[in-house]
Amino acid sequence: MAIGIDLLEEVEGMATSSGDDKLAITFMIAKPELAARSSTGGPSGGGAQEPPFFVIGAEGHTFLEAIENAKMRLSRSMYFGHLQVFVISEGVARQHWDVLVDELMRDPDVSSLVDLLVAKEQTAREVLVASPPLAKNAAEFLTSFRKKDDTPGVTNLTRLWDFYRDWRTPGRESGAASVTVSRDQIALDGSAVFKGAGLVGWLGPQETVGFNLLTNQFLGGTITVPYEGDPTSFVVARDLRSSADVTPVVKDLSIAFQIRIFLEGNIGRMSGAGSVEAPETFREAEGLLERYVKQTVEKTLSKLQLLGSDITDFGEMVHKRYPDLWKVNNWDEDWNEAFRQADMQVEIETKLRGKGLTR
Amino acid sequence: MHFGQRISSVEHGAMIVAQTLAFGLFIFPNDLHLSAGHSAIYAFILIGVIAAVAMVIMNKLAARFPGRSVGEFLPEITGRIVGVPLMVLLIIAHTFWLGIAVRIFSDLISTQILRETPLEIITFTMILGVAYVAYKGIETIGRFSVFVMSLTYLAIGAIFLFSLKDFDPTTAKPLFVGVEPIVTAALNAYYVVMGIQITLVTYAFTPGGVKVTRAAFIALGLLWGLLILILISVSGIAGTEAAKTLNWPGILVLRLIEIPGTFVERTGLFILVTWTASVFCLCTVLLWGISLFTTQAFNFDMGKTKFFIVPVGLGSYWFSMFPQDYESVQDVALPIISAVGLVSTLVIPLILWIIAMLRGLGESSRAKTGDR
Repeated sequence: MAIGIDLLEEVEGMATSSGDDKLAITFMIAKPELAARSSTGGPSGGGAQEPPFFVIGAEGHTFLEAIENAKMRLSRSMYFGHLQVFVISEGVARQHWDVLVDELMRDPDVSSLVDLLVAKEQTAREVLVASPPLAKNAAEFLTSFRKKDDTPGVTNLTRLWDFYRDWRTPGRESGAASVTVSRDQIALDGSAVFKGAGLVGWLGPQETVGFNLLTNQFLGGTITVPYEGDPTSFVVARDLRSSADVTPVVKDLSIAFQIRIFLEGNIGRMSGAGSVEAPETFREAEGLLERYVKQTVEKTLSKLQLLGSDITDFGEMVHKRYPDLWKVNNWDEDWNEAFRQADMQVEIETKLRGKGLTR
Repeated sequence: MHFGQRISSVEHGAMIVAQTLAFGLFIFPNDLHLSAGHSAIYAFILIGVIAAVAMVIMNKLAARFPGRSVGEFLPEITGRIVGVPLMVLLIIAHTFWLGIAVRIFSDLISTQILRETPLEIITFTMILGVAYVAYKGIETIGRFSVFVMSLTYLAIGAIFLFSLKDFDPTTAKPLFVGVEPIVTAALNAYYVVMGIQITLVTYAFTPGGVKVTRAAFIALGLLWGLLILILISVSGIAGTEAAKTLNWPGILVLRLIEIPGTFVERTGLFILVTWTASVFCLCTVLLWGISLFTTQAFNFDMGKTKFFIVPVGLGSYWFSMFPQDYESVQDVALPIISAVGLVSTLVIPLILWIIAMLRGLGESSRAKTGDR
């Protein structure tokens, strides 16, 4: 039986935490009339503005059981076609995530494009119910990063499908954005690193920049580089674009990676330096940026090697370039160990072109 | 009976495309990756080569018997003692194929859209609609095929081109995993091109000659291009291991595409409508073809073809309800259909052609196809 859209509860966001032996799932459900008013700037009734959504919680041993339990508290059918984000708590990410991902991918109602985020040091529900400024709700705010032209370098958004693919593919692991809330302000502050379908650690903001540079996902942004020996002075590089070229090489029967990253942008600010007119000042800024980015990328790689999780897809490159070596070493089963021991050679080239509208 | 020139060469080509486009379009990458792994693309190239050879042989055979379809010249070549039982076997096999085509369609509709509608209702409604168009005869089917083929081909092609924005060349890069897995995969997934066998039926209704042969090869080329685009999209977006786990890898790729705008924003729905029309076309051609074949096998008057639509339709409904679930369709029915496809597009036409040449039956194919 077809159901009219006005008879559906549209779920826009979900958050899940683990209880004693059950999953606790919070559903963010849109109030269509209020959502329409808030998006068109129309009156919302005066006084304190009512949020254009409400949340309900339900528990269950599985995702479907939790939905069934939630349905008992709603007068209309639940509709997941417009689900935008799924926030998971650290506990779920460490223990139940494989079962949940499998269940979500099987569900024809849930879009494979749903963004996955991991709540860091707080419950997933807290993230979902936060009220970010200039956004209808947390779900809209979090997905807005995908639509921005100048996505900050610390953003690492992962879709349900990307996670599933990496999970199912030998030699690939997945990451997801980590998110925190402080006084109702939501911030993406790095990445959660998975091994298999379980959370094994975190990348901080700087390490996430390194990850995005390595995987060609650095989509513009700013990098602030402190002067060596003078942490109060900075070079700010802006409008940055990057491209990374990773080549796996076999050295004495072990794997090494030659990583070349080219970074191009403009100078936003230089403090504590000579005149930006002088060519040597540009070269000095480029040198500083090069060393800083090299350090950042190496730090990211060291962290990932320490965690034993290749979320960079380097394994896929090795598999395709050296299929025989891959087979002989049975890296389908244990690529992460080889990744952990791989030698990483990082080369950075930077080019700063302009310095803005004034001399 | 000489069928005369009832469809044009374009309609003939369109019927070949329509016959092939609807069956296995969204599932064949799964079968290829399951059997050939990282060599899925090599397996598909092998399918293309087999299909091209089959098309050459079928055209040469059909050209020897202008104005007569396979149901007529098969018993003449083999003799009725061998020909009629063989035709009965082919009728049963193709009715089974029709049933499975309808079942795949019904499964997709019932898992993706109408989850509360019984499978039986979707299946029966489909067969009823198909039977009505088949009743109207080949001219209607030909015109319908031209329209549906163009719409479906362009829609699916354009949308899969959009999907290439998520394409990863490293993931898509094929690896050679050995001859056996490639051959096994090609044989298992041959169903995706077996619709070309309609050539042996529809050729008789065309003017014949070089133009018709060329139309058939253009149709095959177009099909091959679209199918390889779908396979490459799936290989580069999902990757081999994930593609092995997806029942409908083609549908997943479509679901990943976000196209802004108001007209084609709902790409899934748009594709579903065109694909439904395409399946409808496939089933119509099949139902009509089997009914015609049955009439010829038992030497009935050609006017009786319409009456065979009802038993063939009911038989296909029975076959469609046969598999327990979708996995049974994929694991059991599709390899059988692929085998039937290989036998009916390559093995039987090759044997018939050789016998016809040795016995000097029919006209010289050189004169008809314009070969130099």
